[in-house]
Amino acid sequence: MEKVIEQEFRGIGKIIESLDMEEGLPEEILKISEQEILGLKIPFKVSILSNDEFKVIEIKLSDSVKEVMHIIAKEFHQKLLPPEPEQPLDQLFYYDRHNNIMGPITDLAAPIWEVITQHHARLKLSLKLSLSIQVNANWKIAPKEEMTPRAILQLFDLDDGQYSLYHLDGSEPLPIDTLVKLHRGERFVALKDGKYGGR
Amino acid sequence: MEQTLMLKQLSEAVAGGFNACDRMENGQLYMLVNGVPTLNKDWTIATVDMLISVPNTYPVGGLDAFYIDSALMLHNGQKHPRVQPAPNILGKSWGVVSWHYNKPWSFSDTFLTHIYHCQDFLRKGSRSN
Amino acid sequence: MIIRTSEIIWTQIDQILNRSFNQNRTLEWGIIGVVEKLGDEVFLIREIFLPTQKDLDQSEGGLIFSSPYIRRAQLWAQRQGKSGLVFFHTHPLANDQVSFSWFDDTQEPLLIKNLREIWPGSEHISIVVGKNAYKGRVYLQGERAQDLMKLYVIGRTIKVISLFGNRVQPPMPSHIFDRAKEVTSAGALQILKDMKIAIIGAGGTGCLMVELLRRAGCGNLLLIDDDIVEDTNLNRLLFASSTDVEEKNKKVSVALRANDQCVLENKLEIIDGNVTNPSVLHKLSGIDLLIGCIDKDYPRYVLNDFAVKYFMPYVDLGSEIGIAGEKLQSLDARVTYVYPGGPCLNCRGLIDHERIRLEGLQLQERRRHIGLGYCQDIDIKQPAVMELNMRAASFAALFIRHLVQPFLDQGGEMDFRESITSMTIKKVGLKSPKMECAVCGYKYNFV
Repeated sequence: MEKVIEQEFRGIGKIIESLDMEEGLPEEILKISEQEILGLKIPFKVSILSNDEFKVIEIKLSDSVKEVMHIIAKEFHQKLLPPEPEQPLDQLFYYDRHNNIMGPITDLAAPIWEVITQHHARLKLSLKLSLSIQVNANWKIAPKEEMTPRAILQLFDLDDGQYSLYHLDGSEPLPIDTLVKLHRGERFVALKDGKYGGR
Repeated sequence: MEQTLMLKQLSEAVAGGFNACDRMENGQLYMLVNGVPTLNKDWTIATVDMLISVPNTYPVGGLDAFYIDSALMLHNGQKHPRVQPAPNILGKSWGVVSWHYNKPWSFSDTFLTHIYHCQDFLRKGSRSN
Repeated sequence: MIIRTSEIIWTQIDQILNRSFNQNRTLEWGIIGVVEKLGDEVFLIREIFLPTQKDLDQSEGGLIFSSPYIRRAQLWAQRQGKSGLVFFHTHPLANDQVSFSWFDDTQEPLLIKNLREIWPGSEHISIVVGKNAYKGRVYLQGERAQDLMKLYVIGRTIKVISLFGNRVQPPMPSHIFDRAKEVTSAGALQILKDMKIAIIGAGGTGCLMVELLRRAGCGNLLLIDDDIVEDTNLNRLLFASSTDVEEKNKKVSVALRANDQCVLENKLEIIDGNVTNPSVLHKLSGIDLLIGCIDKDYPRYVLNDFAVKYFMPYVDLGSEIGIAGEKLQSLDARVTYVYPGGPCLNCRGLIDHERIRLEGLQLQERRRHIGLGYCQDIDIKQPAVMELNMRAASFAALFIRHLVQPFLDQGGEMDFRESITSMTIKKVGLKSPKMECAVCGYKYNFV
């Protein structure tokens, strides 16, 4: 489809070549009907937040914010968390015309071209990889890099008097008030005691 | 026998350097191994084709005995006394060799280990008794 | 749904649970095991984890399984690919009736839900134990708990434990069995009536087993064979006639016809098939007792392997007439019992792998191998007479009565050989130097 568009709009190829990512989308592209925007790939500068390295990659303007997040993560050999089909806890930020970082973008289903045009944003995005951890089937963002099992259980709304916390493959419960260093993607198991009684 | 097991063991035999494939005649499954090195100058040929019947109870029922191309001869012009006449199979003339294991067949034995076992007969040349 | 386990495992479970009833009758005890699902109807208790002091908390008047104890069992089970856990706990004051308490009913589903979060797809069992009664339930996938019916404990005898929660008085048996009640009482008769028994082989011994078991009160029989009646069968195939030979009727059909013509209190289902076919073998998943009446080694191997793997009691029959030249040398009947923890047919030398190899060859190929000197008698039709088959079948049928209500001498390894010519019957020991069996793992010594 990209080739068809380039043939039909002879000037488009040259426009894409001469895009200034610091400026955003030029008028000529905005004039193209939404239908025709599908398939147009535009170079963007992307990075992982808190990392200065920017890369240039091509992103389809019709890609959703969530799809763009996946593409950026893949470019930096990362994966979004939690895994599909759940919604990512990671966040995408954009840059305004003055190069201020803005966001996060909350509507993950919106096409990226809409986000860029709405905010008059640059063709520049940064992905924040959150400190997501899993307990049983649930994922949350850990507020700190070190937390006690008690605090982790509370984060997941689990009664620390009823549950013990284990590493995913661990057979010994983690001491309830000893700090645990957390890593993005780390998985834990919270298991209850089994209570029975003839009373 | 299970198709996946057969394919796995044939692949192992091929990976072991043997030109092995499966063949069927009159409902009987065979493993045909072309060009097995004879490994002894007692023989008039450097490589020989080998045929091994695979029971449908494999691997519980193991492998034993083998057919060898009837062209296999010793340098004295004689056939090896352990090679007995056999009828044509797969359009080819064979001799059959009874070459017993000195231990029961186990689940760690495979098509490949049986080829090695049969090759032992060839390796010993005229000394295979 | 039923559960099955071995006598060895059950003995360990019982030892822990009996602490509630032998000593201080206020303390609740419990134990966790690992289960494996077999087909749709059967769970096997594969393994148990004996509790240490830290694993059980009895201080609050009930019983708490600590989460490390549960975790230990859960991790092992998940890594081994098993289906779930089984929780046993006692109600010490319950005697002949027991049921889950209100507390059990509120707490246990929370535990099960928690286990499923960690271990999706798992299915768990819970059994509450009184002094003389047991109640069990199973948490299947996506469903509420379902009641369990029975627990079979398989060892040198078969014990059947009702999981309904009370001591069930067996109903009065039919008058048909009045003359047998001193040998098999009402309780044992009810067990025979309820058990699903599969007879593999509808030949000379198989047809006799069907008839003997029907008349013993066995209510659910399954007969499997794919062979047709031939004229040389007529000297020993019960109810078969020359018409069956002419019509090439299946042996299983002959047995079914006889069953339908002489109605007793049993059901007989037949399968025209061979247990060496995996789809036929799969149908044995819901069976409680296997009886092998086969004269080939490969199906015997398949059944033996199946019985060992799935804790299934297996009674294997054989009869042999030995001839030297033209002289009758021996008339032997054999009954061998395979049970969990005991030696299997492979350890006993009753499975010949060389014969299995030859059985797997097509006729022409097999004859070539026989010509090379392998297994000369494999294609020879062995002599056979009904009277000898009847010795084996009769002993097997009595032995099955013994399994549910013991009366035989329990010593030895459950392999009985009768020699008619020498008029002796003996228990046969194992005959090999120290080895570990490749099928059952039994370590056997020279006897």
